[in-house]
Amino acid sequence: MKVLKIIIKDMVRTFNSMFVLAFMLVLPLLQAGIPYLAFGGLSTGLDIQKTRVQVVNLDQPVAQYGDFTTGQLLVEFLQDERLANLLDVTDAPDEASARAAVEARTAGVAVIVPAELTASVFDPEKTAALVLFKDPALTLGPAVVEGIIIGFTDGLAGSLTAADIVSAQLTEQGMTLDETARQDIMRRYGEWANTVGESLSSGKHPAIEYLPPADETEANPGLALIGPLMLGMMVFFTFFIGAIQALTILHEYEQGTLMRLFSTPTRPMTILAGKYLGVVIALEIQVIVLIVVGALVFGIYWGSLAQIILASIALIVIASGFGILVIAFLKSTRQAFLVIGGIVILTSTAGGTMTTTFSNLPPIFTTINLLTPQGWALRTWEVAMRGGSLGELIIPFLVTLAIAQILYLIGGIQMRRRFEQ
Amino acid sequence: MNNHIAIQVQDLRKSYGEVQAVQGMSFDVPKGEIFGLLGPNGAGKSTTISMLSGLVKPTTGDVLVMGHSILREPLQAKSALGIVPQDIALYEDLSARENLMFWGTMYNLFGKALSKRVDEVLQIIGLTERQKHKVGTFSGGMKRRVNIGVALLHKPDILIMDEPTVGIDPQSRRHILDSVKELNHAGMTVLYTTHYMEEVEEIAHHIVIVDQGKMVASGTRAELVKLVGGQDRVDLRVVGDAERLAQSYKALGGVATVQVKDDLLSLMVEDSNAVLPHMFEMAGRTSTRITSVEIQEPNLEAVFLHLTGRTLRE
Repeated sequence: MKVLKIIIKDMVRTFNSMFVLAFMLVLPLLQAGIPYLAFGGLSTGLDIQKTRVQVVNLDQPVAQYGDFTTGQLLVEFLQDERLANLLDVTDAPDEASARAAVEARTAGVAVIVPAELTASVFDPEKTAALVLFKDPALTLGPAVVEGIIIGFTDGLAGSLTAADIVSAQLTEQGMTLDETARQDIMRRYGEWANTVGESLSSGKHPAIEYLPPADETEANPGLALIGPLMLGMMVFFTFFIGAIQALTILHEYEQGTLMRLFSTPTRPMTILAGKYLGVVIALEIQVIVLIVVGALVFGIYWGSLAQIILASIALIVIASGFGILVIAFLKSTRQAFLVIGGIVILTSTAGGTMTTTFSNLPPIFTTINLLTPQGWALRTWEVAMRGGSLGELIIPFLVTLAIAQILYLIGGIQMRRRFEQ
Repeated sequence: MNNHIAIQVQDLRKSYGEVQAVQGMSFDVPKGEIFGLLGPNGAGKSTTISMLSGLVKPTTGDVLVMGHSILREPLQAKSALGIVPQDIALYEDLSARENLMFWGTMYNLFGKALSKRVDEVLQIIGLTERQKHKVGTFSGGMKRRVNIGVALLHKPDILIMDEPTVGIDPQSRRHILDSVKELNHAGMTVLYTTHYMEEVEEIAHHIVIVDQGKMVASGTRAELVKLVGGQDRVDLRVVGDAERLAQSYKALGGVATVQVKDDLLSLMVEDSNAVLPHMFEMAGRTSTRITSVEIQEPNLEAVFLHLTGRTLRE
């Protein structure tokens, strides 16, 4: 009962501290959350706002080709439903109103199709230029429109070239290409070019076979880094908070309440057990919250339930032992933050918490990792997160616990020496 | 152990390396008395209290509290003690009530009994209205009251107060001294340490004077004052060669001891009325001017000076 009272008292004081809460929960979540958002973690893909386009089609048909105009083809292309998520296309009555719409910012781009476009397509001697009038404040939307139009004109040029090549080959054979066949060739080339374009726009080429991704993180390499990043932050901040929580023992000694506790009819072991368990429970809460938020919000796979439990126990025990060891040798709370910060940063960096997202580290670095308690805590979690077996996890788990025992023993002996006069 | 004895201190010694903080302290605190431990800073009072409380292990010796050894039966001994430490030992980020509730648990009080007792203690220390305020917001005097309140929670047989009035205002000091007398009237044994002579003179039934880790005297006020033979204390402030004047006073009849500190001469004399004229005459002969004269009838300060050659406040 008394142990529980000491733990509750310490928990109340801990959770009243904004500083502790920030380092316990807010900072590690932010450290992972910001990159998660940066890699588009909350969306299913690239979200680009639709560009409003005013099209003025001044193109005139060429007599020998009937009512066909390239300009109308372009307008239909821009208004295709497959581009509906990118473009919102409106027919403008004339160039002046299209330009006015861009200036009034009711449209992002005005596309002016010249009168001689069709003529220039069929007569190499003639030239015509598509005019894009864009809002200078926009960059992405007009670039998208420009890219689409370039794709169209490239496709058109390609289809003309294809028709010319077929015509030249037929001429060599003593045949002629009639207009219907010519247009059919151009149409089929255009369809083929369209298919290639669609494939390329989703990151694939029609000539290459792609294996379907296993999960979203494979499709999005950025998101695949969030797990290791969060793991590194969780280990780092757990060790930091372990030391900060253990500091309450020294703080109580300095403010006289620890010695007052020893003067009550309460066994010293009960008092110290309450203090030590307070550290452990604070870390337990921290780790559970980070794991749950990591899984639910960031979609991190931490391992099977059994692996999560074992890896959590290893992390909590070793971080609390580390904290007690550091505090046992600290002279006063005045030097606490400097010393704790320095030691935790040094050992965490050497332990690999800052390089969890790097895959090809030199072997020497892996060796250095294992010279620190953080390295072993990370090792346990890494086995769990890559889906290793329980048998694979048990060795780093036991080593971590053994190191924790040593830390507790040395820290405990030093604490007793200090408090027993 | 005698049933009338609350605390029995048996040849208590404490050494820190070469330094002997307490050297062979032995005394008995009778039940129902206010027992004063008087001595200057560094005399060993707090070390003695720490050993009595079980916080510091004696190098040799033992303490029996209500018949229980602090070394062999610490939990039983500590159950009988209520300790008021010299420095405030409270959780400043918790309220007064929260502090008392927590400390009450450490004294094996739980549930409704604890809650009821906390209400009583808050009334005793006069902080019922402020019970939900954080201790960190309290004045020094209010913090001291909560500090005392914690020690009263479990209705101890013995209250140990280690210099409880250091650094507080006169009103709070008065309140504490009155509370000690009230608690004693209600049957509580009090062990009170201080370097303020006037406090033990006012409240203590029995006084032990300590200096440099040793007991130098023990008894009631009347018994202790008799040690200086009813001598008066004369304090002279001088301008001139105080040392030379002090040397000449030592040869003067009726002067028992002379002490010099800067421009202050403190003398223990048989009869101040008879000796004073000669003092002035000698001052004139040594070209030393006496600027003020203070005469005190025998008190504990005089006793301490007589026994140690130093004042309590040095």
